[in-house]
Amino acid sequence: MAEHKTPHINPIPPQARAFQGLRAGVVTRTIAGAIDYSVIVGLTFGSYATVAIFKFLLDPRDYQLPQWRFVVFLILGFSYFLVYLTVAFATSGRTFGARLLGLRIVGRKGSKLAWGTALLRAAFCVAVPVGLFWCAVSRENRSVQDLVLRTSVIHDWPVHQAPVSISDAESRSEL
Amino acid sequence: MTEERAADPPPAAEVRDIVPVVHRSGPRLPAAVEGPLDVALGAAVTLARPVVAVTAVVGRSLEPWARVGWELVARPPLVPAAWTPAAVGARLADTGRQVRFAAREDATVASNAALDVVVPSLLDPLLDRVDLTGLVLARVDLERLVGAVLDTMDLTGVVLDRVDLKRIVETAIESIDITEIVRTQVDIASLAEEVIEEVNLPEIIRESSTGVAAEVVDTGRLSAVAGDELVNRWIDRILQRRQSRRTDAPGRAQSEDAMDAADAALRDSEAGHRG
Repeated sequence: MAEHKTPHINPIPPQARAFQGLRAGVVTRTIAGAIDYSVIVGLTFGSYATVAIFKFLLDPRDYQLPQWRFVVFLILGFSYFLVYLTVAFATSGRTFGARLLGLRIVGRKGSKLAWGTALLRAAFCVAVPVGLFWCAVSRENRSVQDLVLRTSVIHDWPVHQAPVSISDAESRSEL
Repeated sequence: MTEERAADPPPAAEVRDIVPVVHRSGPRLPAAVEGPLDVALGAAVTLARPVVAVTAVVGRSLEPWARVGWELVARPPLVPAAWTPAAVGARLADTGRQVRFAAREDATVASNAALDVVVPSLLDPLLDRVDLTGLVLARVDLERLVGAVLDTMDLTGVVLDRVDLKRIVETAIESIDITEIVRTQVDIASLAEEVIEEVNLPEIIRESSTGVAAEVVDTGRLSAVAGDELVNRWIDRILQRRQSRRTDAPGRAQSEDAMDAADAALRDSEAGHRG
């Protein structure tokens, strides 16, 4: 007698299934990193704009744009970046750029990073961003951060919803 | 089936078993009679041999005289040729021959008529007293017989000509529950998954649900992966690497886990329904 199971529709396109779970290369990771940098830059200038608006609301008559030194932008940006990366690594394993590019950061055994490891990796990424490019040379597609902390960045296209089963589709069509 | 038989005849030992050898033996006389009889036969043969030899010698010496004497009797001189005993005998022989041929035809007709009457009346009681089926089973190599018959006839042609196949198929379909058979014997899930893969249903669903944006994202991701491979190839060539990269990572992709979890959940719910 044939074994019965309900078929599911895999939401990942067939041409992308082969490399799901494998370590990503330098191009994908650089694009993801660039998107994250853009987010942080936007956040930093957004903070500046917010402060400027509040200042205008408080004293519109003698209003002057806030005069921030470049190092303030740097410190604010790096702080945002550190928090952003730590939270992303320790929760979903995906930054915004990683989500867009279908990447996920995993630990030594393929699990999510612990908060400590996430903080260390985030600090490493902020301090030595150029370490990312080692993954082009590494035979295992690992960046310097990955080598030191034994982490991996894998292709794992996000699944927004549970795989649709045929029986689910049938029950919905009856409604 | 007939081809198998033709290609694989029964072994010789089997044939010997099927066709029994019949040993014929005549009736035996009592021993008290056999002894004197043998003595009498021996004496008769011993006495008869010289008599036969003498008779043969005498016969051979008298043969020319007997032939001349017969010629004189059959065609005596001074008698007209038509009235000689030989001529008369020849005429009588012609008449007798004609009668014999006519009588043979009459006898054939009469014997056929008699057989038509006698044979049925004899055959029925005879067959009533004989276990013909048992006899055939014991004496006839049925396998060989059927094989020979099947070799000579076109069984498929006979079935096509004589059998109402449409009626048989309709009756069979009415009597069996095809839906149930398909449900129990066919792995419908695998079949459905193959069809889904064939028509690329995920692509259709994505196109219908998430629109152009998702397609752009997918295309962008695939292009980035192609870029990865290109860069990796260049660098590996520059570094003169011969082995490919080891990009296996620990753990699994969440999409694979999601598929497994969905399967497990459905199995649990089906088990719950059955329970």
